[in-house]
Amino acid sequence: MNASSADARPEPDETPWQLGRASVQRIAALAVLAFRSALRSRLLLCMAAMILLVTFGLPATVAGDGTLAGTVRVLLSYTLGLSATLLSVAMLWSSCASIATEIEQGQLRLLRVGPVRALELWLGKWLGLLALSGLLLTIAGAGTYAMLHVTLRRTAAAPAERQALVEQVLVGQRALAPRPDDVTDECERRLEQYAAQGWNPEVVSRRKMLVLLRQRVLAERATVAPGQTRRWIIDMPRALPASPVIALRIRLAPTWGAARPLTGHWHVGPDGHPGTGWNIPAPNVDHGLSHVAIPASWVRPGEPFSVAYVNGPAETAGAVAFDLDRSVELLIRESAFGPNLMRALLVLWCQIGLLCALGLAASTCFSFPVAAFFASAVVLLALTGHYFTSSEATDIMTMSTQQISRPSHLQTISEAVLRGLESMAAPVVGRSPLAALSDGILISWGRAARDVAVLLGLYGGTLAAASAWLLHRRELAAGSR
Amino acid sequence: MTLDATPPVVDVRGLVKVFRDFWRRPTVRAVNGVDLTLRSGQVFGLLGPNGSGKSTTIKILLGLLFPTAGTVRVLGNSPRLVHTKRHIGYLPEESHLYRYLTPRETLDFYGRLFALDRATRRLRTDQLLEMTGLTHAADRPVGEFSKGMARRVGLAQALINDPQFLILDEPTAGLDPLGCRQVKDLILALAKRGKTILLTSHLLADVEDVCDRLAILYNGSIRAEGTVQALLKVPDAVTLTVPNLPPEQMRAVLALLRTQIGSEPRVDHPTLDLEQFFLDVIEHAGDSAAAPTGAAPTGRVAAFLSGERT
Repeated sequence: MNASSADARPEPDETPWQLGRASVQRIAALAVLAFRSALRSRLLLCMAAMILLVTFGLPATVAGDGTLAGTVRVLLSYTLGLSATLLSVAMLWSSCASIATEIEQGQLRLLRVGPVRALELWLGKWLGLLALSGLLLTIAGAGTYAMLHVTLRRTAAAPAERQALVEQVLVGQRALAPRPDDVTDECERRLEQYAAQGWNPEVVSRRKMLVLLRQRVLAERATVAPGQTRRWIIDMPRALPASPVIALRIRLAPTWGAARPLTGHWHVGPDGHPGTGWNIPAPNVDHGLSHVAIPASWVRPGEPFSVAYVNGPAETAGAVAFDLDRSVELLIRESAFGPNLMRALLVLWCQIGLLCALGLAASTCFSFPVAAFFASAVVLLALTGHYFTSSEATDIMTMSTQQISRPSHLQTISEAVLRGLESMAAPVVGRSPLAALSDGILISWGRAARDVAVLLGLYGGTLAAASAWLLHRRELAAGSR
Repeated sequence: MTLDATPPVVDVRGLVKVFRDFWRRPTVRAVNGVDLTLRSGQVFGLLGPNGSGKSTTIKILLGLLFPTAGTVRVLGNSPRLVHTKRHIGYLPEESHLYRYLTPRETLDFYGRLFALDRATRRLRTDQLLEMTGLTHAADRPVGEFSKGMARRVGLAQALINDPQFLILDEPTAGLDPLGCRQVKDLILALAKRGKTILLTSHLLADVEDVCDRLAILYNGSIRAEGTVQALLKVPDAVTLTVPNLPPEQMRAVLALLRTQIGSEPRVDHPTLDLEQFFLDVIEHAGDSAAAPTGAAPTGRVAAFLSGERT
């Protein structure tokens, strides 16, 4: 729109989000139109071909670590991940083009002359794109599943390796994380030291310093020196599946060498029951990961379970560095691989649906190239915002108090914007469903339902309402007189 | 009830539209104090040179642009209300159809937007395709069509909801003479059923053929408005048409006229107009033609538009 009127206000008796019975018919017609356009413009065909090419071509070109599990992990994370990325980019651009090009070419003008509310129009477009991405994601999932079967059939592997694959990767296991360490006292003590060295709360706030100190203390505690013991407490759920299959997964820091063995042993058992516990020799470490089977009789539903790593003496052992975020997890098998794959695809579909909503919202406000740039920039900032904020945190902790200067207003604002974007993107860029899938971690129906509600319902709904309001206020025919 | 006593279908009072730039500075006053009243059954012509404010006025009537000042009522309500839009049909100056849809799919799609049931959509689609001569091309994508054929699809789209108020922006642009004639017949048939039609055209002969009232816009203001007869009437001249007379009789008649009017009368031989001549030739050629490749209109107005029971 290249001109606007002085009183470009909607009529008071017209609400853009008021939906009636005929609305469903109109929304369905618009959704079918969007889907049909993608079909006739060969977007669907082109995308399906690309996805199948990636699904069946990439595993042949990307070498895994030589193991069957490694090959399967490549297939699940890289192959399906690349398909999802391609699909995300294509759907983001399609949605950016959707409304903007129709405004430029005049089709939207003809739609708005008819009895179509702005929200109906927006929802129809969105549903069409959701249907399209759902179909393409189904193709990607089905192709990956077929390729998995082909890989398992063709790859020669020892029965034990196959068994490990089925038990650790091709499964859906609920992951129980340990209780977070209470490091408040330690952080307060260190903060007092900083205050004595000249820390100025007006430059770096107390809240921010405590967050940074907590990160530092936890990083220190992730390393277990020779002769020391590191203990974790895991709260067991009140109900366990009948005949549960339980395993302990140990994850070492990424810097841990692939072939370095652990030199200590594990002691596990119900917490608060002295004398009840079992020693387990440290198992082999494979690419920083280690699995220990835990008999079901060792755990008590609803009670805490203690896991301790007892490092060897200084003469024979070195320091052991565990992964900072996911050092130990108790895994309980709850689902087969197939349903877990379906739920992972559902979560991916929600994420792509949110991208479509973002693209459509940008398309409502800007012309196609501007909308594409804007939406891509928002996605990029949301995905990388935490790098900026965490790098700033590292800087503060490594600088002396004299080096830390009062942040400028611009820095304060940009940090607030980045943190806002980061927190808004947290539900989207949280734990990747594909990473969970390739780790054999359960993607529960609860998580899938939450993503449908948050990503599509809350975020998508908010974008829909805002876009409908903007579209309702926008003059669609300013230009020729 | 006389025509002027019926409630107006369109009532525009003091309409002003000022376009502004990005910084909201006024750039042009496209419409400047326009008053318009259209009543049921009227065919109203909105004329004016390029940039006179015709399209802006139409877009405000359609709710696509918002007035800067003045009031606009269409069928008694704001043109931006969905309830109002249900009863409006619009043929834009340029084709804004979806290239990938066929005419049948296009009409079905717009029928769905108007919440028509399946049977009604199917019936109206068939009748409109037959009326616009597109039955044989009903399943080809609109993107493959010539401008004239796309315009026929646009016309059918504008009529799918059997509108009370029809806005036709350059309805005969891009159409062959046969199509032009058919559009004009359609307009007259719709007006006869009490529909109100607002049309713009640069072809003044077309406007003269179908409009019973017109307004001429210039620089955003109405410079002339009234019935076609009143505006075009030449008050001090009469045309007399007689059969072809032998020379002696003609001389006698002219002599009589000279003595009566005191000046030389103008003598001319009437000719067919080119449109009628073209239509005669096409009708004759059509009798022996093979299957047409372009539009092949039947010349019949769709039954649901002419008020026939279907």
